[in-house]
Amino acid sequence: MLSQILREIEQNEGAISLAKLSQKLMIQTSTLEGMLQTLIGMGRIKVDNVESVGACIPGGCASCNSDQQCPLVVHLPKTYSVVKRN
Amino acid sequence: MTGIHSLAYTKRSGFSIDYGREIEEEIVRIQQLIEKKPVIQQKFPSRWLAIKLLEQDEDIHKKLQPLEGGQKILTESQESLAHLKVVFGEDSDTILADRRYGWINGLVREAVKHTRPNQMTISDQIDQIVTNQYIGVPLFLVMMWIVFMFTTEISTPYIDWIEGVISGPITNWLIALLGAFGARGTWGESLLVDGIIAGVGGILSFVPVLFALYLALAVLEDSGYMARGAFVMDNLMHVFGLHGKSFVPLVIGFGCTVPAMYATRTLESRKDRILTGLLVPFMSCGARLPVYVLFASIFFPNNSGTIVFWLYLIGILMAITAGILLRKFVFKGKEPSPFVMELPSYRMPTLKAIWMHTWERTSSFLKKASTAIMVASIIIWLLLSIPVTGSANFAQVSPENSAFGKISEWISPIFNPLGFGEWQMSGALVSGLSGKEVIITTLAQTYGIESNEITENILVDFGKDIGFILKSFIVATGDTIRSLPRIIGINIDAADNQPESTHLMQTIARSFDSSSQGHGQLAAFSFMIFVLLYTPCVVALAAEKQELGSKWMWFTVFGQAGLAWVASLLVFQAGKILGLG
Repeated sequence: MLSQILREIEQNEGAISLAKLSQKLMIQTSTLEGMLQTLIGMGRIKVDNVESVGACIPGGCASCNSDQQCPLVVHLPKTYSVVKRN
Repeated sequence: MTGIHSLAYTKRSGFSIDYGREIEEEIVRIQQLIEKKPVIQQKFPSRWLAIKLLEQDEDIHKKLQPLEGGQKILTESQESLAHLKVVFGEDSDTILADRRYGWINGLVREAVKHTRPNQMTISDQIDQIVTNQYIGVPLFLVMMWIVFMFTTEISTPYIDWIEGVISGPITNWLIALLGAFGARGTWGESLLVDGIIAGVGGILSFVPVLFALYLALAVLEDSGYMARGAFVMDNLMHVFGLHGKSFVPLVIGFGCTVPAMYATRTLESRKDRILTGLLVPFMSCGARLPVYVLFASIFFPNNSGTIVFWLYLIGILMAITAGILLRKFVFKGKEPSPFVMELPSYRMPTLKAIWMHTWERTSSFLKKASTAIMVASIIIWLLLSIPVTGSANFAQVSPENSAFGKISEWISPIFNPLGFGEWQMSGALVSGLSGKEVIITTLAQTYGIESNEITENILVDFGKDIGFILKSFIVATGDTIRSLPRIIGINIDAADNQPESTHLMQTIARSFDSSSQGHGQLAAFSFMIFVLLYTPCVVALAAEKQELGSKWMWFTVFGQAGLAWVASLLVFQAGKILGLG
């Protein structure tokens, strides 16, 4: 099952939605989420941490002057990428 | 091996998952080794330990190493791992987890009965349309068009209201206060009225525009649509051969270029990071929106929302074109970038959440206006106050004879072929490098000083002023309500659908008409294209230097400026030939 998920993700050129992936593999979305967590634990996929890159340089554009996330950053959905193994 | 094969299924007792013949054989082989070492066998159940070793559990490795016979077991388990890798072509930890999920899945299929099998949720049904590869992108563009129509239509009456309040009662109160302290006619008055009130006040008039945009974005974000927008953007990237994950920094770039530059870190390859970083400035950041709205309201009052939408779209199209060219000639080759996107379910946004998101963003702009933009206003005022030619004293010099006027005049011939060669415009574009909102601040200051004729004695009537503020607010609200149907193209008030022109707007219109020999509309569009494409602000450049290095930062500085100049030239000159504007 897990290898199938990895294969299915890797077959795509770009993004595939979680719902589409669960449809293709005929696995419930909640089960698939658990499997993705297992794959994260195994270091086979990773969560792309978009939120953390929203932190501006101190003083930044003078919008916030803090280490917190920039208020102008649009909240984007969580994405998972396959970790390339050498 | 035959002995182990038969043992593989006899050795299991009680509840245990069947991992398949090859794995079970390796488990038993390691189990047999463990059972020969009493110290280890006493500490760990043999099957559990064998499985953990095949899973390459680091913690178990550490615990086993110092024990007697531990090293031998570890060495033997490495042989098992190598063997399984050859058999399955996959790491054993993945195969073991795979088998466990297979077992769970089989169990669920046998034990769970779905009363409504394979029924799609409402979210999934909507997504069939919204994320469809053919409908998704056009639908996203329609949504964006509605956002810009909403932004311009509901904010325009309030822009006039704030402008009226700042240039009317607030300025009068300040002048009267200065008069009470005997500070009339001093440089202090010039600093406060021509510098801070004109500069910061000029940009504060556009707070309703940003508030409306942030309100629309908050609704889209909280409803779950923005995530779908990002998803279809990703598909669009692939159609044009760009890296899928580039959509993250590019979408963030619509808010601000600075965090968008940092967001390029989400891309693994340096080549992709550089390419995406070079495309980010094409996305119209929030700071450029007030400039677009001001010029669209002056020169295209009936289609301002559509013009703003087109400017955003031109930015995206230019980014795609630049991306294709850079990919083809500079950053050749593209590694596939598969990833999974978790699209949240659609939901009805709550008023509290929408207000919080909108206010968070609007207040960040207000903070910027009271810090960076105020400093920029003071610097521009200072440069406008230093006499370079003529005999006037400090803060009494006419703008064209000031240091700012002379520097701007020296630069302005560059912009003559683009239709906006007046010194006020070239000065505004240069000061706009400190932040694109400063373009408005500068225009308000340079055109404001020219027209300010402060009367000697101002009589303040607070009651009358408060009445004016409240009455004009009610009028603005009424105008906004009447303009709502125009968002979807219905004009119920055809006779009165043009926003009221403020003094600044009239002066800018005259100035563009004169600099372009009567092609004001075309020159204004050329100016907006220049603002869209030219060099990003210095803070964005600093972020680019940090992320991509000096070389690429300078590439952006000169590349974007050159591209903006050529694009504006084409717009103005081709437009004139074609008889547009």
